[in-house]
Amino acid sequence: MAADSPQQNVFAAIIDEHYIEEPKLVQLLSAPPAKITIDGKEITIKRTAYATDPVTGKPFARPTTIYDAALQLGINIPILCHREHMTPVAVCRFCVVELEGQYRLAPACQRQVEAGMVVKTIATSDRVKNAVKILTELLLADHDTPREAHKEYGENELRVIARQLNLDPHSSRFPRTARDRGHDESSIVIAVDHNACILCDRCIRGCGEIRNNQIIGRMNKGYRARIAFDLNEPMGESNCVSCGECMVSCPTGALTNRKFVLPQVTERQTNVQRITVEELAPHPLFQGVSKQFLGWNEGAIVRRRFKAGEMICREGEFGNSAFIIESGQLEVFIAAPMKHVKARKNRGKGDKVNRGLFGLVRRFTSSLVSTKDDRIDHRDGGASGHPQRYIPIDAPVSLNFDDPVATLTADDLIFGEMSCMNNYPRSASVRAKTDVVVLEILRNVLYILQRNKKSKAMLDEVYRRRSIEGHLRSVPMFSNLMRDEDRFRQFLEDFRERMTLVRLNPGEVIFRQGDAADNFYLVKFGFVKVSQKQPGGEHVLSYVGPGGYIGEIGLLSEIPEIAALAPPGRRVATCQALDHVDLVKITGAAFQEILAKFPEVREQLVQVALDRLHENEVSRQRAETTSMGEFVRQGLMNAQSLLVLDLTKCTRCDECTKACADAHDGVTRLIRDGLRFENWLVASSCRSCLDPYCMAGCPVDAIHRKKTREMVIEDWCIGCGNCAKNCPYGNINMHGFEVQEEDPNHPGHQMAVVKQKATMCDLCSELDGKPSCVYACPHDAAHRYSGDEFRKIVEGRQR
Amino acid sequence: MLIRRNWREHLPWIIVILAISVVSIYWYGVLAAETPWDRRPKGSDLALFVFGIAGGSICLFEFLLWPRKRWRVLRLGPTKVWMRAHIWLGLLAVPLLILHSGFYFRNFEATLLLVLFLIVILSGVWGLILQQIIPQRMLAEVPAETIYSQIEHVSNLLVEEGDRLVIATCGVTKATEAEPATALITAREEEALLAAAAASTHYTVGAVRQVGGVQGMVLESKPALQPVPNSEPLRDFFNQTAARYLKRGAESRSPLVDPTQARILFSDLRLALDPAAHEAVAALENLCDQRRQFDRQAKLHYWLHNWLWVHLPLSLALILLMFVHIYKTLQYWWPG
Repeated sequence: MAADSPQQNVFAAIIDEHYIEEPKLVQLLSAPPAKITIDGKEITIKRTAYATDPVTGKPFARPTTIYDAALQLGINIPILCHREHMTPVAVCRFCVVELEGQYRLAPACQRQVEAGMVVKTIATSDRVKNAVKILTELLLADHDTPREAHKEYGENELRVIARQLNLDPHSSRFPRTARDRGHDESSIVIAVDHNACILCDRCIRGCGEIRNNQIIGRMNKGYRARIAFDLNEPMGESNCVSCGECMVSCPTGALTNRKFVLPQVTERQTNVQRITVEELAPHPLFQGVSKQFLGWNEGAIVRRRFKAGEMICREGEFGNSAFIIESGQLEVFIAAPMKHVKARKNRGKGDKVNRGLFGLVRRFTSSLVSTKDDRIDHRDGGASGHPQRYIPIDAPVSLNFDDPVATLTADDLIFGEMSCMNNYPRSASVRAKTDVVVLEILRNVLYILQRNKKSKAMLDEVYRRRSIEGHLRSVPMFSNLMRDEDRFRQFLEDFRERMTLVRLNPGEVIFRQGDAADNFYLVKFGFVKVSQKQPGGEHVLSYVGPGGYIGEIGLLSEIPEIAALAPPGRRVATCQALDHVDLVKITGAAFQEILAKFPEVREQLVQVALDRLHENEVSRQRAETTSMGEFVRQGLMNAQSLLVLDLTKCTRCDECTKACADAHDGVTRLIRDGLRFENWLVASSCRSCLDPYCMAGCPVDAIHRKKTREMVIEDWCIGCGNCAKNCPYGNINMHGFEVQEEDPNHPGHQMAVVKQKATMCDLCSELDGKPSCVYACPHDAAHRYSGDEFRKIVEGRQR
Repeated sequence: MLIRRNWREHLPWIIVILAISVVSIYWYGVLAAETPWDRRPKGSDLALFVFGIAGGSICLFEFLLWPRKRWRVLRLGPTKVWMRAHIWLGLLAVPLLILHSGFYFRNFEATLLLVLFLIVILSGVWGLILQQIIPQRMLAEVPAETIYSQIEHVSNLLVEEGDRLVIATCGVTKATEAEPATALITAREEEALLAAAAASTHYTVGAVRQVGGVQGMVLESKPALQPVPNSEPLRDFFNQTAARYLKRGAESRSPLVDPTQARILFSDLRLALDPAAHEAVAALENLCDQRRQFDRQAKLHYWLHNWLWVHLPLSLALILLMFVHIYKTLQYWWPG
């Protein structure tokens, strides 16, 4: 709807003092007051009025409109698209008034007062009343009912006006619009119902003028017109900072607060204190967030007080909140034993040999044991645990492999973001070292903080200042660098400021195979799915979690060995965020500088890149040269010892599974299920799945793929069970080990608890090398083959 | 044990038992020829006694397969070798014990023993025949086969998966308390499912996929869908029909038991829904198809194993009766 002629219009909104220099406004400020009549009542009014900026709270001057004058007289003019602190755009025309001597109805929100004006409003003019009624009915017809509007929004301003005009707010004599303009639920905090939108533009002005974010605009025309985010991106994928101003501004609930997670606070919790918006407002982290928005999420932020020694969260527990440290010191640690789990023959306790008939039988059995002596870190090919190895956790610090304890203070600001955003288990236990005060926030609040300009800047700054060191220590590519602490510090000082945090929503593509390589990324939290197009389809190479990195190959093309295997300067795989992912971006230039200045990092990176490329090349060549693409894609070619069941012979007696259980303390590691090749069922320890989903979600990055593509569980597994839950074939099992842990009810005392650790089938390789499942199969259905042997058998069958 | 495919491995056994059988029959024939017409060879004659000892020992050995299976991890030779011996020696015992009887069937206890033995052998042979046929039928007819004892558990997982699929497609709305799906899943589970669905950024869908000769249960991780408008018919269909079927299979007496009716129902459902929801309908149809296969699997599994209900108890009875027979024979020899 077009605005009135330019001479009558008020110019764009004034939101701070600078605009006061605008000549027209200066002229108005010095102009004499105007005397006008509204509905028979006279008023003499200044030519400029003051409105309050909702963000700064400061008053600002703007030309006085008929609407302002009517307000002063106590006359109610209905408004829908207008708010006093926004630039009037007069698109809804609900505020139209009749001006004496003029044929056209004028919008009161926009028409500036002039001396001698005689105005009739909806209260006295039938013409105006009819016009507004028709408008209301038309909008009601176009305005679909938003979902649960009564719960989420409160009062719908359009319906209020309809009631005032004695209209039914839920129906219209005009036919409803048939076209579905759609919903957008991509944002975690704001739901958009385009059908409920009346295109009043209040959200657009709220976003652009008040918050200066310029994310929302209009798209399309006519019946297809609707609001859009950036270049018509889904809201959650746009640059929206989730300030909430659009929701606050929306008159119909088309933009509503989603309230994903209900507050967890109950009155029984004595250490919990509800916190009001007023209390939160001075907190620097919340200063950029709209107060009203915070009010809607009031229950999602609580203050918790912990006495020294009290546990705040425990490793392995599922959490949906993060903690902002206000005061005190906290101890972060991994309580699960840092031990290597393996199967061992039962030979009696210590040197004692099992005797007697039962002892004899027992000597043929085996059990799982955990040893501290032969811990292995497979992240760089299975070398023994590096003395400087660190375990990535969901906090600003990483834990030393040998002494997994660290301290957090208020300077570290926040921990638990990954559990909060992605519902992962807690990666470590946190205990109050001194008396501690924290703010516990739920997911929607953290989401807002991570996107709000001010809060984001603060979080990023804290990351650069405090967390980056811990994070880099957990990245294996820096392990050689960490041998010399001075060199590591120098690296930190040189590059600290050149690392930027990037936040991604689930499904967002970081780069695609074939794109030009520009940046290098370290994964701070969340999981990145790495896939590659290979003959026969897309192959998921890996899931890269906290402590991992992506994008190095395309930036290493000046290395001749790498240039021989990868297209120069191009990405060799597609990387996509599986869930909410935080990446640390290092630009290509900074990356090259790192390589030049720190040869030890370069050496490690090149080696890993070459390994990855060789592995991919071998896999690709095999896929091309064999007719059994699927066989190769499953990674079976690389397998050393597959457990294969001939299903034409197998009578499903489950003797194999029972034998496995008998050999492993009654806990079977074999589930007689899996992929089939012709009549063969492959039930190996790990199929190195096409999509190794078990890797996604490990909060401490303890599950990896070996060079042979088999999965391996590192010794720092905290036993949360996520990998076992995610493994579709049940090849990962949880096994309990008794450990001593501090009694939470009696600080200072130890108690025995059973800690779980994830274990996988090793085909009895640590026993006598004869898998019990094969040995116990009475029908000659279970066999053990290498990948190549098995391929020949299947190919022979196909011929 | 499938014999046809690995007959070469069984050939030595076949040759040996045939040779022993021929030798035994020959020996019996010689004995019978030497014996006057007015009396038949008896069990106490050397040849028949040897047959009895051999046959009894074989029966005892056959019975030892049970403890061998019980102590699976003992390295006493691969169980498949025990099984081969079980099959062929069991068959060898037939001529030996029949010859041992001397074709004299007036003694009730000895005759009962022989009849019992033959029933055990026949049930074993019946089981062996079934093992040549049913595993292959199962392979062909049940691509979604799971572990038999886990069918109930996997069916529950199918219900959960279906519920997640419906929530991802229709949005998070609490099902009414009276709905069948709610009755199948406890209120707490429902809460947990709803919370998980609301909080999750991605969900997984499982299906049986076949590419050439490769087939199996494949899981795919997908970003959480934006709810499809007007997709409530899918939720209703799931709650009222599909969930019960997924949970109970053929016992539910659902129309989905019949594949033709199921196809019609799913076609109707597709017509009632936005095309954006058709992917979810296909996934749900796939889940129902898996459940149908589980029913088929249960039926085949029953036939594959039900002969054991005859074979095992009668084997035990046979062994007991055999000892009675031995005791009575010894008593006859040494009456004092």
